Amino acid sequence: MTIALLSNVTVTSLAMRLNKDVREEVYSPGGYNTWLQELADPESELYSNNPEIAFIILHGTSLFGEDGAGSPEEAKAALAPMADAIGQAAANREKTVFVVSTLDIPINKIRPLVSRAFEPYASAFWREEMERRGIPLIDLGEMASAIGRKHFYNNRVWYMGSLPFSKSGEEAIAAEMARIRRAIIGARRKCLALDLDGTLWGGAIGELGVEGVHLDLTGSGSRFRDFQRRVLDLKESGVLLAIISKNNMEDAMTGIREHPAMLLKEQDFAAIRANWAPKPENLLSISKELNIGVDSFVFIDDNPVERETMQIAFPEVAVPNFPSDSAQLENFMIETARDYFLQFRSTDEDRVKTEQYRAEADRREYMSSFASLDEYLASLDMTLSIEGLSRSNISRASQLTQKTNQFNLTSIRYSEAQMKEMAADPSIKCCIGELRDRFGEYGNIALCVARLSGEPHKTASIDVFLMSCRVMGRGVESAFLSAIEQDLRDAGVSEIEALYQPTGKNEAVRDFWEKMGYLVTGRTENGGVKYALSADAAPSRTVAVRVREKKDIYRTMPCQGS
Amino acid sequence: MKDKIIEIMRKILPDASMETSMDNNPSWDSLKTLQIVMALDEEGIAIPFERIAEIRSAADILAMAGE
Repeated sequence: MTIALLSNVTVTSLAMRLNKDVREEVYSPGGYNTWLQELADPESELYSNNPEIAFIILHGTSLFGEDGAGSPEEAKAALAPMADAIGQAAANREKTVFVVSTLDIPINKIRPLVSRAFEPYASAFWREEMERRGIPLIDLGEMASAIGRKHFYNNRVWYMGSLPFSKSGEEAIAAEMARIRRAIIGARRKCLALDLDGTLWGGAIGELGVEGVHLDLTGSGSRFRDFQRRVLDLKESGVLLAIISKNNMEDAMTGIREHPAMLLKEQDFAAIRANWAPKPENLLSISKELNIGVDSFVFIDDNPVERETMQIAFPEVAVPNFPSDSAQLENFMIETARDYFLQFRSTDEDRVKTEQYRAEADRREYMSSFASLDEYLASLDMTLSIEGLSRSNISRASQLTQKTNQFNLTSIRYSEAQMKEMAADPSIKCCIGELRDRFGEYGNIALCVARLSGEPHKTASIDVFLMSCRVMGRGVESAFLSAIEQDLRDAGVSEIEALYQPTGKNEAVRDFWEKMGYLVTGRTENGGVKYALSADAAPSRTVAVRVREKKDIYRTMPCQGS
Repeated sequence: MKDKIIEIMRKILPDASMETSMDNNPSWDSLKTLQIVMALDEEGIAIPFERIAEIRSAADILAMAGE
């Protein structure tokens, strides 16, 4: 993966820091203030490097002439063509995600109290122009005010070498770029596991009772309420919440259910553990219950001993340092969110994630009332809707390749940009499956990518076949595969090739292709097993899933300009 | 002061010592000089602005830092 860094000032030093932080190649064009040429010229070095992410870091003051802009209108007129150039580049280069800085423009001109400064209008206009085009922002203005301009910039190296930022400034920008990169490639944690006493409220509920703990709508107890508000933001963005507390279950539940200032409700948590067992044990049991890896957890606890115990038991769990000053709780959660849960764009699936996991608990209870699994599956009334990729589901398709570990035959990851490109390629067939049953909707949970070859297309090679582990063990995978085989056959394919690539996390599907009737044809160099099936020999598989296909499932979808 | 300067320099030039100079360390270019100045600034060690362009060695930095 290549990252490009463009700017209207010298960013060689910043590029070096970013390169150290992300351990990826960072391309920064030579020459001073060439960013607009680089964007406009289709033959430019920028495009020949074909970066996956292009950061554009702009020094606000330098975008205008020596005298600045005479008025807000003049400033907007100067910025509009630059915004257009970025917008056009982003629309033409689907493989590259352009991330553009907001403009921090200090007011330097000496003006009377009653006057019209162009600077704030210019920054607001720029932000609006980027947001309107759907371009992700790296908020330089916010960083400058958080650090303080005096410390964010360094005039000495600016005059010596056109390097605008200080060391802290560069470090902050590089760290933010690294976070944004993680969000774009989809390396986001899934679950936030929280302690109760000292974390969601102040004091021990077992000793102080519901009335005694610190938690309030206003005043000093509101520091915990503000903290909870940010936790709730995360839940709404698709992060699963869990509680791991050393308490009696009864005390914990009384606090959660009855405290009048509790912002987080019982139903906001996908799992609750309040007992006296070691916390790593509880975390492991939650990981099994929710079917997510231990490495998907972030663990928050005010007690340093608990944090250390967790870190020793599971080095892969992220354990951020809890602030010693509880007045900093909200800031702490904002930082934790940026470090581990930064999201590129939200999908519909994210918003209802917790509800889906809770519906799963209802299903388990319902299941126990049936004599056999088949009977239970039949009563679930499952419908799998299969369609091709379109603007509405492309982000989710990419997200599925990034996040699915267990039921993933090849574990090939695709960015949103790559996914768009594949969707537009007539020799690649992509389809996504959405499942619902009597308890609710699962959203898009299965994805298949098949590459066709031969003239006419005789062979299909299954590049991606994955399914969310939440719906494993119900025959959905068989129904999905059968529908795909049928479609490939209809498209004239005679031979289907498949691969199982072991990753250490997808042991559950080691025998999948064999179970589906595929025959081993060989092995790859890195331990993968190759399979094939003659399309006509595809067996019919009995499943309790109704399949609906949208007619144009395999019509390729041009996604230009989305 | 000497140790502090070397410690800061090593973050930018990993094998820096008091003997290091732009002549005997080819990876020390003008950008590295500015990075060293940036790092020194944050530690409260300010080389006079007029002297930055004259920096050629670790010894220069130590001498200028005392000015």
